[in-house]
Amino acid sequence: MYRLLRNTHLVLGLLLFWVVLMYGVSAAQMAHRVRIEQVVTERDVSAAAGLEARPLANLLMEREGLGGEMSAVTSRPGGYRFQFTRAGGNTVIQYDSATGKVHFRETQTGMLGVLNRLHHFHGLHNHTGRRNAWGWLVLFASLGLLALGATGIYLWFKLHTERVAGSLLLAANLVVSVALLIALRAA
Amino acid sequence: MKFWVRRIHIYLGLFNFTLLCVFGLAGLVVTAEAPDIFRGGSVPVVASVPFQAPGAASDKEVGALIGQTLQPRHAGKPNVRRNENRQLVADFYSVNGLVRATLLENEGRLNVETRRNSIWRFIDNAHATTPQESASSWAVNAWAWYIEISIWSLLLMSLSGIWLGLTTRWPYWWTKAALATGTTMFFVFYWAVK
Repeated sequence: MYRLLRNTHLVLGLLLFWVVLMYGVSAAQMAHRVRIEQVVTERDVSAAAGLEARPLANLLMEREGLGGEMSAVTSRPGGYRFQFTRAGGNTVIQYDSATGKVHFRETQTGMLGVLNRLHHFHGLHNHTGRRNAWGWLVLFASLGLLALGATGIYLWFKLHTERVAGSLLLAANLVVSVALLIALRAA
Repeated sequence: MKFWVRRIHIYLGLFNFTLLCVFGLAGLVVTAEAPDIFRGGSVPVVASVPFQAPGAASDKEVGALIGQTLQPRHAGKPNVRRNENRQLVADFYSVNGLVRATLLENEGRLNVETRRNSIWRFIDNAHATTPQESASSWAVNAWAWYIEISIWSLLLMSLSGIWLGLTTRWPYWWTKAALATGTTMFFVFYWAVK
C-alpha cells in the first residue's frame, strides 16, 4: 500500500509539474498585478463583399492562418466586427460589407499573458476541440491536486520521525483555514 | 541536502493542505460549470433601506456612502454605474456573492438585492482572493494572506517535489516516462491553445 501510494504521488507530481508551475506563476502574476506587455499590430486585407461572419471567419482562418475561438460578433455601421481569442492574445476583425475590406487588430501578450489566460481557460463545452482538451487537462490537474494532497498526508503519516512537527503544522492549517472559511461564509 | 528538501516539501504540504484542496475543488467547480449567482436559481433577498444622497456628491462618492450605510460583509469598494432607467446602481461583490443597491432618489431609499452564491462558487471565489482585494474585513485579509503564502508554497512544493523525484527515483523507467509525458502533454497543449 505504502509503495503504491508513494509511486502514485511521484507519478502524479511529475505528470502535473508544468501545469502546477503554470498555475503558481500565473497566480503570483495576478496576485501582484504584474503588468503584461502587449504588442499591437494592425493591417488591412480584402475579401469578397457581403459575407456573413462565419464564412468570413473560416476564410480568414484558412487564408491568413488565424486561430482561436471566434466570439463577440457585433454589428457596426456598414458591417460588423468579431474577434478570435487565443491564450496568447486576440485578433479583432472589422469587416465592411459593401467593400469587403477587412481590418485586423492583433494583440500579442507574450508568455505571462499566455499563462494568465491558460489559468482561466476551463470547461468541457467550449467552441473548439483544443479548448475542450485543455478543459480535460484542468479536470485531470484538479483531481490530481486533490490526490497529491491525500497521498501526501498518508506518506507523511507513515514517516514516524516527522509526526510531531507535522501534526502541529497540519493542525495549524486546519484550525486557521477552517476558521477563516467559516468566518468568510458567515452571513 | 535531500533531508532538508524533503522536510521543506512535507512541511509546506501540511501547512497548505486545506488550500491545496480549495485549489483542486475550484478547478472541479469551474470544469463542472457550477451555476453562478445569476443562474443558480436561488431567489434574491430584497430589502428597502432609507437613504438620501447628498446633493453635491458624485456617483462614486454616493457609492461609497451606500457602502457605509449597508456595510455588506466582506465586500470591497462598489462598482458604481447607471442602469437603463438612469438610476445609480452600486454592486458589492464578495466571496459570498453580490449585494446590489439601486438608488431610488425620488423615493429617498435604496432597493437592496442580496444574491448569495452556492458553496461551490464560494470555494471558487475563495481560491481567487488575494491581498489585492479592497475589502476591509479582517477575515478576507487574513484569508488573502494565507492564499498568498500558499501560492508561493505551491511553487516551492512543485520545485522541491521534482528535485526529490529526479534525485531519488531517476533510475526507474516510470519516473522518466511520467516526466516526459507530463512535459510533452503540457507543451503540446500550450502550443495548441496559444
